[in-house]
Parts: sequence; C-alpha cells; structure tokens
Amino acid sequence: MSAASLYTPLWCKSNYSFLEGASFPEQYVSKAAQLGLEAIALTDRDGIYGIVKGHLAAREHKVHLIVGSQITIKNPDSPVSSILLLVCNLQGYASLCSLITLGRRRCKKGESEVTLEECCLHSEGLYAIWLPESMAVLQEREDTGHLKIMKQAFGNRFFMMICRHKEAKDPILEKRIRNHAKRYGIRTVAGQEILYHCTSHRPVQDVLSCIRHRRSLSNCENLLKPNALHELIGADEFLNIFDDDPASVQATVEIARNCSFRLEDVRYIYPEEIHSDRISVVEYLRELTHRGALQRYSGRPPEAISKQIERELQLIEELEYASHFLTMHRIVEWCKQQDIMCQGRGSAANSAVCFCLGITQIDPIDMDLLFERFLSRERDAPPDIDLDIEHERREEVIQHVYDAYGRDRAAMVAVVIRYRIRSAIRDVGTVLDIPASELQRLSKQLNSYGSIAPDDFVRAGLDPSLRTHCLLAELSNAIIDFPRHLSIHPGGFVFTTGPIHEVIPVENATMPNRTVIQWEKDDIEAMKIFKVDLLGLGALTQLHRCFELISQHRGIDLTMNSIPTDDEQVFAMLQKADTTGVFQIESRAQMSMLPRLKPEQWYDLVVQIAIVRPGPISGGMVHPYLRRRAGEEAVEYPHPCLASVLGKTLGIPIFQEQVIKLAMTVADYQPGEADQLRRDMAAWRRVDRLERHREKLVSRMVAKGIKQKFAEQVFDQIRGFGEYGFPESHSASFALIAYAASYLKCHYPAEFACSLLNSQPMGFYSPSTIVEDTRRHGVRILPIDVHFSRRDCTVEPCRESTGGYALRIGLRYVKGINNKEAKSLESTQIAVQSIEELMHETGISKATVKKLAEAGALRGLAANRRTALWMAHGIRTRKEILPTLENSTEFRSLSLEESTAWDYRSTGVSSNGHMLQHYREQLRAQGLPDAKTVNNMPDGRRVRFVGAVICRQRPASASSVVFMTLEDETGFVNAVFWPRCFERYSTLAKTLSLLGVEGTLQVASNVVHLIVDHVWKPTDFSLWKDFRSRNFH
Amino acid sequence: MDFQLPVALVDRSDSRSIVMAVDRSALKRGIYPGLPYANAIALCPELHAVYPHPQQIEYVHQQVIRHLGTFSPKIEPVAELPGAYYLDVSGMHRLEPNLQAWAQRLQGILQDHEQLHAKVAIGFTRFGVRAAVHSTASVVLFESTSEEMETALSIPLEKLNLPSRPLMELDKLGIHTVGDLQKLPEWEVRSRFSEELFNLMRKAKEEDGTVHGIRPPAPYSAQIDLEYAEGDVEQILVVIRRIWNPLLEKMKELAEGVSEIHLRLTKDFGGACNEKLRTAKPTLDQTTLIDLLRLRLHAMNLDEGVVGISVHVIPGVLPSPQMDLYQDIVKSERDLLAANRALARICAEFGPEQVLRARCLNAHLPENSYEWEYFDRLRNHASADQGNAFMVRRILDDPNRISTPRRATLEKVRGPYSTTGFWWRPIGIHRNDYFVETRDGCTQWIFYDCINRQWYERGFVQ
Repeated sequence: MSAASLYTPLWCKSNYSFLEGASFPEQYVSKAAQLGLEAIALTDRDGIYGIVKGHLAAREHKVHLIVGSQITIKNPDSPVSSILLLVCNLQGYASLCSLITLGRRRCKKGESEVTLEECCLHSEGLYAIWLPESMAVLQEREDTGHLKIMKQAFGNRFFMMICRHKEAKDPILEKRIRNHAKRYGIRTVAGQEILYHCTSHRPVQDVLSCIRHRRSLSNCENLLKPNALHELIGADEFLNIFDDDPASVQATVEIARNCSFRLEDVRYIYPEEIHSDRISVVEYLRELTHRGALQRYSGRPPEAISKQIERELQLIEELEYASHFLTMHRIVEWCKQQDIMCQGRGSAANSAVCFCLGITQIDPIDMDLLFERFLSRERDAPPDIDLDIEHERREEVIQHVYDAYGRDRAAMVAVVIRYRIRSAIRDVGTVLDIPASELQRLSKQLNSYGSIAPDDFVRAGLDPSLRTHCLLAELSNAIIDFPRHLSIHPGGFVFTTGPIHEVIPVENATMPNRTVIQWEKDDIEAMKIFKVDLLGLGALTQLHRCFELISQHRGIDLTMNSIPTDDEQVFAMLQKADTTGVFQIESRAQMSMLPRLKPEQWYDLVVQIAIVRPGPISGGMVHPYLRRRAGEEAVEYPHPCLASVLGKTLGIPIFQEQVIKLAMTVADYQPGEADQLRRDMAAWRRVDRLERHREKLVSRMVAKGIKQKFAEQVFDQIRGFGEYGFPESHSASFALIAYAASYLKCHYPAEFACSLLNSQPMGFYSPSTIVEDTRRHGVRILPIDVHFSRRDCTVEPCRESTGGYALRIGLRYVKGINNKEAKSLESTQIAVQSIEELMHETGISKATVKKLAEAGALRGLAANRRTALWMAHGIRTRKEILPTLENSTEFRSLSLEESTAWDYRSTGVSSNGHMLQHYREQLRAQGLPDAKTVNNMPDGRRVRFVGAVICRQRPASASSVVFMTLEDETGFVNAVFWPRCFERYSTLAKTLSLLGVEGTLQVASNVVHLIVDHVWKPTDFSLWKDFRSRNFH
Repeated sequence: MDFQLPVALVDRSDSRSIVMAVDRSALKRGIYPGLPYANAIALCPELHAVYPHPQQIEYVHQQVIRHLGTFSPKIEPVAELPGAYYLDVSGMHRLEPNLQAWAQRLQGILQDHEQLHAKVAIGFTRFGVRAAVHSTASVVLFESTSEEMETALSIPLEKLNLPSRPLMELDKLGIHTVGDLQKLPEWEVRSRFSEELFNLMRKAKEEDGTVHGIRPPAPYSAQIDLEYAEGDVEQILVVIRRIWNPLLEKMKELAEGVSEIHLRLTKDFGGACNEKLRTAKPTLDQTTLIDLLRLRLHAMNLDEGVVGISVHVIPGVLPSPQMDLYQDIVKSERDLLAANRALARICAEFGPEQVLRARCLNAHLPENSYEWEYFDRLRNHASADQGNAFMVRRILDDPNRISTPRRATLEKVRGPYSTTGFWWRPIGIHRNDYFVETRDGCTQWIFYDCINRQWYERGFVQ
C-alpha cells in the first residue's frame, strides 16, 4: 500500500469560506493529485459554495472529493464552536444541505448558527468530527453532555480530531481530547486545519483574516495563525507528524472510504407543472401550443409552423422538458393578467413552441431561425429560456413565483462577488495601515479590471519602491478573483420537485423576502439544474409608460403589435443616428454604425444590433458586410453550400447560429460537435477550449475544397464570436423593442422622453443628456414647480412644442425627496399660498422644503430661489412655540447661468438649457466651435473643442483605444484617444468632467470622429461642478 | 516622481478628516485650513494628506509658545483656529517703536528655529487681527480701527474655519464675506444657522482687544537655594518640611492630599537629581510623607551636597473620613492599605521601576504574550487559589545566546512550538520554542532562531 493511500485530508477550507481559506477549490484538488492523495474533503464554513468547482476539478484529476462543511454551533449558555460534517451518502448530502439552510435562514446574511441538538437531528448519512477549537465548550472536569448526545446520534460515525500545528496549546488540547474520547468511547482522527494549498499563500490568508475581523495587521496578531503549518501536505509528511498514533491516521482513510457520495449522485428533477388530471403534461403543453398557434396565425397556422411545432413537441417530450415550458407559460400568463409587459429573449426565440405559447414574439419560421441552437438531443444541457420583464415590476413577478411554487421549492441563484483590483486595494491597504486618502488616490488611477503595477503608484504620487507599497501591490493582485461575499443573480430562479434545501443550501439575501441558493450560474449549469431567468428590462417599463401617456393624452392605443413596421420617418431618423435613448442602438458604437449601415427595414435592425458586438468586430466582419451592403464589394460565397447559410447576411457570418450552421455545412460537424462548439464559444474566457476546434474545422474545410486562407479566416471569425456574439433570435427580440422605441421617439418625442425619464435608471445616458436631446428636438422643457409637477415627469399641451406637448420635469428629480413626500406634494398642487403652508399641509420636512427651494420648485411662493431658501430656513415647525417671522430680507436673484448650475446640483437636469450655452460667447471668443459646427466640418480639419464628458469607454476589442463622448448644447462630439495620447493625459482625461481636446477630424460616411492628440483643462468655468460622466472602462 | 506635491495636515487618518494646516503649494491650489479633506482632494487631486501624531503637534505648539514668549508677556492660543495665537502688544511701542520690524523679527525667529512660516497682523480688536491673518500680506499693520474693520468685513467666511454646513448654506444665499453676513439680522441667523455664526457676528462688532495669557502653572510648587552644600538627609528633610508647609495648608483648604511628589535636588558641582514618589493614597500626613522621602534620600548618594531643592506636589482628592466608619465592617483578611503603604515604601526606597507586574496579552510570540506594567497600588482582587503550587519564573528581557543544546544533557523536551510570520515587517520571524528539563534539574525556555541560526535562552524556572 502506498503512503498516499494511508491518509486523507478531512478539513480543508477554500476561499469559498469567504475571507478565511486562501486557495481555490481547484488548487486543492490539483495539489492533492500532485501529492498522490486519493481523496480530499472540502469543508467550507457553513456552506458548500465551492463544491461544484471542486467537483469538476476532482473529476478532471481523478481525485475523490468528499463533500463536507464546518458547521457553526451555538448552544444556549455555551460559547460559539464548530463541528465538521462529512457526507457519506445521498441522504447525508440532503441532511447537510438542510442543516446549513436551517442555520443560514435563521440568521442575517453572512451568518449561521445551529444547535448541537439540531445537528444530531440531521445525523443521518453524515460523519461528525469534533474539532479541537470546540474544546472550550467542554468543561475540564464536568460532563456537559455534549459528547454523549453526539455519540448517541452519530454512533460510530462520531470522531474527535487531533491536530498538530506546532502550537503551544496543542499538547494541552490533545490531552483533553484523548481524556474525553476515552471516557465516552469515541475514536480519534488525525487532521490539520488546511487553509491554503501551499505555504506561499500564508500572507494572503493573514490578510484575509484581518479583513474578516476588520483589523489591521499591526493589531491583529492574536487573530492570525501563529505559523505557516496550514498547507496541504503529503501523506509522508503527515505520517511523520502522527508517527505515534497510526490509528488516528488510519481513521482518515476509513472515513474517506465510507464517504462514497459523489456530487453526480444528486439527481435533479424538474417539478411537474400543474395541469388537468385527464391529460399528461406533454398533452397539456401540446394543447396550449396549438391554441396559441391558432391565435398567432388568425386561426390558420401555416403548414411549416405546424410541422415545426410537432417536431419540437416530440423532442420536448423525449427530453422531458414539458414542465419547463409550462412554467414559463404560466409566468408569462400571470404577467399578462397583471398588465406587466414581458418578452422572452435569447435562444428561446428560435422555438415555435415558445412563440405560440406567447413567451417570445419572433416567428422562428418566418425568420428561418435554427431550432437546434435552442434545443437538441445532443445538447447536454437544459434549454435556456430568459424572460425580460418591466424592471420596476419585476419584484412583483419574483414574489409571485415564490408564492406559486413555495419557498421550499424555489430560490434565486447566487452571484459570488469577487475581488476586483479597486476593492482589493481598498481592503488590503486598510489592513496594511495605509491612509485612506492614499488608497483613494491610487484607486482613481486604476481600471476596474486588471491588476496594479508600479506605474500606477507613480501616477498617484506614491513611491512604488516603499516596502508597504510593494506589499500592497503583491497582495492586492494575489486576491483578485477571490470570493468576497455572496450576492444575488439578477433574475435566475431554480425550482425543484422536493424541498430545494435538500439539493442546495438556501440562505437569506440582503433584500427582504429573497432567498438564494449557495451556487452560482456556472455551478447550476454544471449540475444540469434548470434555471429560469426573470430579468428586469428598463426598456419594457419605458415602452409601457409611453403607451399609457399616448393613450391618456392623445387617445391613441398603441401596442408593440400595432406599431407599423415600415415607417419611413423612423428609418430616416435611424440613418441619421438620431437614437439617443433608444434601446440597444443608442451607444456611441451603435450610433457610429447606423449612418454606415443605413437601416431600411426591420431586419436591418436585427443585423445592426448583432454586428456592433465584440465578436463580429474582432472577427473582422463589420467592414466586409458594410462594403457588400453598399455595393462596393461583390457578394461571394467560398463554397456554394454556404449560400443558404450566409445568404441573409451577404456572405458574412454575423450571428451565432450562422457559425454553427457553417461548421455543420462546410466542416461536416455532427449535431453533438456543433453543440460542443456552441458551448466552447460561450466559454469564451477559456481560449483553449475553442482552439481545439481549429485543426478539425480547417482540415475538414480544406478537404471540401475550400481554400486554406478562407478556412483560417472562418476560424478566426468563429474565435471572434467566442468573445461575444449574439444569436439571431436574441438580436431579433431586441430589435422589436428597439424599433418600437424608435417609432415613439420619432412621432411622440415628449411622451418618449417623459417615459424614459420616469423609467430611470436605465439606458446609456444620464437624465441631463436625455433632456438636452429632447430640447434639441424642439420639445419645450418645463421646470419643476410644486404647483404643476407631479412625482413623475408629465407632458402638458403646448403649441410651441414639437408634437404639441411639452415635458414637465417631475418632483422625483429633486435630489433627496422620497416617494412619500413627492406623492404628498402632488396632492396639494395649486392650493397653497406660502412656503409655510406648503410644509404644514403636506407634512414634508424642513429639509425637503429647502431642497425644493434650491431646485426652484417654489416659484410663486417667493421672489426668487435665494429668498425661498432663506424662508425655508426660517420656517418653524408646528411644535415650536414662536410663529414664523414675517420675511423682510430679500436676496439677489440668480443669474441664468447660476440657475442652471443650481438645477444641475439639486436635480441633475435643467429646464434652462445646457451649462455650456452660457459660456458660448466666451468659447466662441477663444475660437472654440460648438458640436454642431464640428460635426459639419470636413475630413482632416484641425479642431479644438470644449465639452462635457458624458461617457468614457475602453472596449476590450479596441486595443486600448479610449472613446469619449463630449456634449454641449448643440450635440455630441465623438473623441478618440489612441493609447499613447491617453496615457500621456490620463489624469486629465480620466478625472475632468469638462474637457478641452484638440485633434484632427476623421469623417467617413457621415460619421465624424475627432482623433485627439492634445488635452487641456478649460479654466474660467467657475460654476462647472457636480457633472458626472458614465464610465464603462 | 514629483515630490514637490502639495501637502496638508489633517485631523484624522480617514477621508472624513478636516484640513488643519497646509504648505504653500497647497495654499496656491486653493486649499486652506478648515476645509473638509474630501473637498480638498476634489479641488486638488494630487494633494498629500499627513496625519501628525498629537504629541508632535503639542511639541510644536510648546516650541511656538516658547518663542512667542520672548515677544510678549501675554500669549493666548486662538481656540477656534489651531496654530494661531493672540499676543498682547499694548504698551509695546515704548520698547519697540517699529511694530513692523517687531513682526518681521518674530517671523524670522519662527522661520529660523522651527521652519514655520508665520503671518502677523497687528490691530485693535481680536476679530480684526484674526480676520486679517487671511489676507495675502505677510505682515498687516492697521493704522486705524476703520481700516481694520474694512479689512475684516471683506474676509471670506470660508477662511474663518467655520463648520462647513452653514457655510455652504450661506454660500447658496450669496453670503460670502463677513460684511455680507453682517447685513443679515443677527437673531435670524442664529435661529436659521448656528450659534457659531451668531457669535461670529457678535465678535465682529465687538471692540475687544484683550489678550488672556496662558494659565500659569499649578501652584503646588516650592523651591529654595541653600547657602551651603547640604549632604545630611535629616537636614534636607527639615528644609523640605519648611518649604512645603504652605503648600500642604493650601491643599488642606481644598480637601486635597499629596498623591505624588516630584523632587529636584541641585548638586553642588553641577547636575541635578530628579526623583518621583507616589503615596499609597492621597494624604496630608507629614509623618508618612517625610518617611517616604527619607527612604528615597537614604538610597541616594548625596556626598557632593545639595545646593538647591525644588518640590512639586501633584494633588489628589483626600479620601472621606466617613469611610473609616465602615472599616470594621468591610475588614478582610488582606490589609490592602498596609500592603499599599509597603509598596509605596519599596518604591520610595528602590525606585518605582522595581515594582512591576506582568499583564497578559493575546499574542503568539511568547515574549509578546505579556508586558510589564508599573504597579503602585493593590486592588481588592479575589484571593489566589492557595492550592496551586507556584514556581518562580525568570524571564529575560534580552534572550541569552547559548550554544546548541546537547541532547545528552536533556532529560525532557517539549516542543518545538513554531512561530513564523510578521512578514510585513522588514525582518520576519521564524523560530522554534522549546521547554526543556536538563539532567541537572533545570527547566529552561529556549528557542532556535531559524533566520539567525542561533540558539537562545529566554527564561528559566527557579
């Protein structure tokens, strides 16, 4: 027998014990394999967060992974202790998950407690090991009964662990453990508390401990481990440590052998949906689908759709997915009943069944969508059905799902929040006692992703050679991607047939009434557990509100289906890239593409949305497509068989489905291989997974007579898609919403802007940019006024305004006013005559009155804002005895420029126009043009421009090029910073909200870019402050 | 790297701190004392914040006071503006006709000795000079009260170290200077904003120019220069008794007793001895006090003779005599008072550093797991478990280097207990501790320093 098979580490905590262990589960498993260990237990504290990752690694390395957890025990009148539980079999797994759930659900987020009695009640199928750190619970001489009840509950599956970490307390503890073990006839087992896979991670573990205890290293000595003997060691070394007690070492192996449970043993069954007793679930689905088809096609569904439905239903029946579809149907129906707009997205739109059930809005036959992209026999994963719901009403749907399925059968998916460089710098820096001010300055120099380098210290004015700074960099980089805490997935739900807490532990989320499982999306997929995504989409909220406004003011009842799809004015607007605020096509990249792509029909929008993605961009597909579309390049297919695959997109692969079809057509990929390709593309961070297709694809294409060069090019395109590409169905679903939004913007600009402002936060632009864009479209903007404004923005009839309606800013935009107060103000409206009366009638606080005064909302109640503010300061509450004094103090009125600045400061938007319009004369005198002038200048012109930075972007696909959108009262200027220029002016470019830039214009196809080579800080703009850009670095 | 970055002193180490002082570079960038650090960093992103230790501040303060003391008999720190001082120059014109030159000399002294840049304003009212310090001139000399008033009214409010919130509110109302503020009704300002602003308005109107000097040192001090060198302890005690009698009388009036005596003896051939004694409890009992002094003086070498005696007494509240009524009731087996008297006598005779006790700390390194603390008084703890045998453990402050222990000489070895860490310090720790019993019956605490590769003895048991 080899030494390796004589020992199993039973107490390993990974970094999924949140700020305790200092190695990933995969690192433990890999090291165990290296050391030749046959098995290893993963026992994170009060959870099994990392078990799936460990399980996948164990499968790869052929190591047996024992599932376990270190459970926190808190008995009345006893100090907190913990016990190790290891899973023997499936029943044990259910017991462990239930016990963890019990402890987690009764505590606030991040904590857990169970009693020893509860632990004993869940003893079935579990090994229990009493840890040395729990000896404090036991009295020296008295019998507290703890060991007795544990022994009774667990029998021979109860052990006491002896640890030897070369600490002074070890011999004393060991003696006590042996005495107790002897007294109660309990066996001992040898072990080490393993916190990292190799000693080099010890500093990381120390730092994590400090973060957990919110202490710095200088005053945390006793909370740290005294030495570095907590690494995963091999059997030889372990046997040496316990050479005097081979029986305890042998016990580790005995336990490991009896813990034969593997995570594959968990059999997930999707819950059967409620249906009539007379028919089966599949028949019920069939009935609903046919009923839906009749509705969709006005009672006469085409033959093609009927065939497709039948094909899909057969497959659904075969794969036993009927209940999954019914669940989605049930949720969608409920949303319709509650007048909540929702729409399926993603690959579900490839399914005719989903279309007929009303889950999606795209006809897959009409669009010739690939059903296999959604569901296939070869696809080794459940279908992915995502549902977009109005974002402000999503919580209603979530709570309905909890009510409908029961909290013990449904829970939300978790998201593990991991360290990024900025959070790492902040936490590690605090631990190292680096002043917060220095950390703040350093953080400002860093991008959200990536690591920290010595140059970053220099830029922050810090000495990178200081030892503390070296440690800061080294340790911060080391903990990047380490789990920090658990959060909640934006909308992922899982359902189970039996109690969900027997499959995955469930705990409380921070949000009230939300429960969350301990696994994240990838773990769910790996375990082949069905997930339903209920995602919030602001655009649907906006559309719903816009339809309501139009109906209310104009009596026109519009819906998504009643909007004409061939409106020329809409396409003319799109071709001019006039799409600020339009879902999906408002980003700077999309706006740059619109004048080149020149959409003329709805399908062009489908292409437009899909083409401006990292996949097609890095795959080099954009320019060939545009050239072919403009007729500058002939549409050619490298092989005649590709005409059917790429015909819709002029011979260029743009959608994910096309890539898969392409592989099947020209490289003879079988459906299984194609599905593997799809999954490898989805796992785009793992470059190696996609690379393994290169040889197969290229050689098969060459064998089919396709030139080597083209074959390589096709693979590059596929690889590009791997980085991020849209399926056609997904793009089509989004295009529906984008077109509807465009139509509303074009024909009802006031209602469009009003609904957009009332649906914030959403979209790409800040409210101020939306308001400015609306004003540029001729809509009058009316200020906030307590006499006229409601909580939300409203539209008011106005002849001078485009479309006959003006936009009134709502009280919600006054910073610091809560909903209740805004509602209360709504009710008073014109009735009040004085500021004091307003306060007393509405019951709003004095602070709120001041905010209203600053926002200019008290016009009519005071001579000007300053006087209103002074009066607001002087108001006495009803409790105060003295009456409010008559105001006799008058203040100077604000200038227009000051009013605008006050508007921005107190509301974030202004009815007075853009701040820069007040400086226009001054700018003009300096020879600085406005954005409109710049956008009409010819190619190659040198330009100096000053504008407000509304957005900064550094897309991964752009090789460190930074794109910045600058705004003034006349529009946007698109600035481009090459890496060298950005590095040179990085501090100015990253921090200023009002920026001066100089460079050369690049004009092509009506798209204007300013290639910046010089940056400066504009001066003499005293009131310019509090303007924030949206940065997407 | 640019090390000429602007620097500000802040009052705490986090981002909620307030700027207390700035260098010229920061001043040029619009940073001034009183500004919240968050605002300062927004104005000047490259600003370096330094949080000085309070002791450092106190030290500099004392140095400045010392220097200013050579320019005026009355110095008063400005309570609301750290680093600013009022100096009384009334009557100074007779000694110093040119006050401009006086101010420049003051600046020169602070610059030369403390590297501090000072601004000086000479005027008629406290408010006027305080406000004038914020003007750009290095020395401001007001010729008339009207000139002073005019300057004071033009001072921006933000420079007066006022709380930021009311300042922001006033700024919104277009009130930026002291003059703007004076235009508002005083009582309205008080009810709307803050008492501080109201006081500011009041002060701005006052014509007070009084400087209240720093409080004189505590009165319980006495000293005497002897005509000849005295080496006899009893004679010295007679002198001490004579000079401190008035002090004790005064203390008696205030129901205070002596809790600490600071004694300074100046020797005949130069040099001095400073001695400190503590009593078991605050007392005015001459016999006890003299007894303690006698013990200490006898322990000293006074052969050279003493030519000067200075006594400084730290007072404490005298215990109420009513408590004596309960003595019989609360009497325990342990006479704490007697024990404390004994400790006081030991301290007096051998010095306070001879009576220490160990306090347990939570730390991994054995030598860090306790610290010595002065022990002047016993508390009424529960009595120790008499059943436990005790050993006298000797722990060495500095471990002794020893040669590698030979296994043959060891009877029993416990360990190694490994301690590694402190990796964040310039030199980390990696060592193994052992408790060994030697064949000749000694019990030792030894350790091997793995970094220095050296054995040490840390302690032993007697």
